[in-house]
Amino acid sequence: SQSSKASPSSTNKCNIALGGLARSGKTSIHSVIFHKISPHETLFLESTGRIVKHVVSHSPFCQLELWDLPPELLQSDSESSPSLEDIVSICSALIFVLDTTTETPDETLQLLHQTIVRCYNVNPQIHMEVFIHKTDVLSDEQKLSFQREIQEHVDGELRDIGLDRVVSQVSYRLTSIFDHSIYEAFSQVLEKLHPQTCLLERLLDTFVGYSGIENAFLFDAVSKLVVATDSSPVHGNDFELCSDMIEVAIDISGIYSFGNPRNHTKEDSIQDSHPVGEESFILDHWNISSSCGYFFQDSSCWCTIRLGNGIVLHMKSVGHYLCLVLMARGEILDSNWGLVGYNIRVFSECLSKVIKSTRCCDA
Amino acid sequence: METERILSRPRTRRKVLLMGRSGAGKTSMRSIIFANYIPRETRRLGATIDVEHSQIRFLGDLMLSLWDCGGQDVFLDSYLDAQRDNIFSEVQVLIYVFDIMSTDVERDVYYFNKVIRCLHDASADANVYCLFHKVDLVPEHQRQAVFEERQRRVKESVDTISLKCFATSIWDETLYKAWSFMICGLIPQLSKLDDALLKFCEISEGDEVVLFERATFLVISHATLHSHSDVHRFEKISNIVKRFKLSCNKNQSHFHSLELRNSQFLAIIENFTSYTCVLYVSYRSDIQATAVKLNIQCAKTLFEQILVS
Ligand SMILES: Nc1nc2c(ncn2[C@@H]2O[C@H](COP(=O)(O)OP(=O)(O)OP(=O)(O)O)[C@@H](O)[C@H]2O)c(=O)[nH]1
Ligand SMILES: Nc1nc2c(ncn2[C@@H]2O[C@H](COP(=O)(O)OP(=O)(O)O)[C@@H](O)[C@H]2O)c(=O)[nH]1
Ligand SMILES: [Mg+2]
Repeated sequence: SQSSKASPSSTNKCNIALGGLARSGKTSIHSVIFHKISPHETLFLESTGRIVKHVVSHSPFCQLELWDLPPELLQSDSESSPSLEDIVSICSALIFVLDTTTETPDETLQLLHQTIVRCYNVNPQIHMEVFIHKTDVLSDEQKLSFQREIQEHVDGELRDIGLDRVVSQVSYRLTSIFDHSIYEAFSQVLEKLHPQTCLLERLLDTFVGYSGIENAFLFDAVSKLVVATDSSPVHGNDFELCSDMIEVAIDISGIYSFGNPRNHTKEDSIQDSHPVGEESFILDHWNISSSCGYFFQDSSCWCTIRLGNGIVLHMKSVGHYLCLVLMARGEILDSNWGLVGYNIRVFSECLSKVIKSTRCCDA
Repeated sequence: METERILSRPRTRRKVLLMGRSGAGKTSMRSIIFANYIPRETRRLGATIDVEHSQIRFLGDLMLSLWDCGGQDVFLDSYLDAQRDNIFSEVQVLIYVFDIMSTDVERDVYYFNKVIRCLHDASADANVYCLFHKVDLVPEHQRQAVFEERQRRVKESVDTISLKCFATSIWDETLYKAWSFMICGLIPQLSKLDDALLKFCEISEGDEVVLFERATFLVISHATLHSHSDVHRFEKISNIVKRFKLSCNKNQSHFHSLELRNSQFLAIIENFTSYTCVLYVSYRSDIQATAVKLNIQCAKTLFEQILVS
């Protein structure tokens, strides 16, 4: 049984904390995914040195509160208020960003171990995610050996103090903001946290089955995180290709939909039911930027890309800042456009119902 | 007949010198434009030893002979002295790259000045372009000021000749802007292409049509019926499509065509002639994609003819 304190607050937002040593890449990670700054621009990011809460209001499946924690907060002698414990008690996950280029690996591992234990003690349900970060500087072989070493070390230490249960609660992911790995890692975290994931997956399976296509992905269009995938196996870089396609569509739409970009402003609801006082951290509220806001509001938007190997990618916005991307063989799609179009409509209707019922539950 | 033309020897050769001090980014930009590198991969490049020659076929009929001249001082000194005749004779274009973050501007300008003098003696008619590179490292609000300051220093040092300057970075469309401009100057059929494209745009009821070289995705020509506020849009599209093409390559496939529509416009990108791709844009909501594609097919032959003339 779980204390009421550990469950997310009255808003339906999912709380995720980001921790790690200084310069490990915490701010870069969420700036790249949610703020759309390009990876090389993270060079200009400055350390904040305070707790910053980022409110992400994208699609219904991407309603997040990200807590960017200053490194001092993780030190055991930190006397800051709110404390790590205060924040973790309301979080569903903690992402520990571990910089592979660090010059103090022992200190980093020590901090990781200590953080896991502290988080688990206040919130036994929490998902611990270790992002082994800046892997762009490593070879494939190095990446794997890095991951193995870290995992063995942490597992060993946890077992030593009798926390065998926690071992399976810690996930390790190799990430870099310079390639697609950070999107995949973050998507996996989201999929894990969201209660609707299974339902969406079944919906997509039905859609794929009836339409005779290979794969279907449901994306949070603004962040390009994948919300759900059908359960058939995804080939190598297909996921990346689909997300790159959305980017192409957004970028070209941004250039040619000069029709007044109606700014989308979501009702900024700042909640007061947190155990953490509002004045003790900086709040950063991100709205969907006006440049791509138009793109996602336009429900008539679609894009088709044909590849040399006969595969066709088709993207269609399905409302709620979500878009559906499907992959299919060209000859199958071309003889079935009517059917596929119809199935997309049915899928969007089901999706709306899922979203509506989620909202009802929350109320 | 088609294959014969593709295999025929290009009739126009152009010698392009790529110079600048070591680490300025010459090999990086060449690799991105002509060898499908992604920007991040350039970190692995080592310093160029002496001169690396590459022959690049552009639009079928134009052969660019690109001389990437390693920029360490020993090499530069030798170009200016022992290798002088070999390097500077029969040059059509000099592309001189400055690292905008360089701390030794004095010495940059010193070498540039010497290079310009040698070039003037051997190939007086060559076009000279200066690229102030790595602007991504300058915070955005200072870029224009830093660029102008550097440009002034360089122009002062060689006041007799005219230079065209660009601020570039491998991380955005500025690289495509500069290279499109420099390479287009070498295409003999350019004005004919411009005219034909405008006519095609009108006939097919488009609002904008852009022609890209297929391998590099550099902009060759465009026809625009309504003014558009974004002056960098073509280079942005080059950059967007090139990135996507690389992503397709990673998947053991290649990009074939794109169709994009929303309530504001229809855009189509397709292979066009043997060496070009076309972007077609229309703001009309009643335009049929299939009709546009048919028009593109029909225009192909005409453009093939212009390109080989
Ligand atoms: N930040 C940034 N780095 C760049 C840019 N262009 C190139 N670089 C980096 O600069 C370094 C040197 O690039 P090279 O292309 O090898 O330099 P080069 O001018 O060919 O040097 P030499 O061959 O010795 O003459 C590489 O690590 C590139 O990744 C840019 O636009 N921005
Ligand atoms: N090579 C590499 N550098 C990264 C990556 N992510 C972040 N960085 C760099 O790491 C530095 C510190 O990042 P920052 O987000 O400020 O770290 P924070 O203090 O943990 O928030 C910045 O200069 C980033 O450009 C990555 O995936 N690869
Ligand atoms: Mg070089």
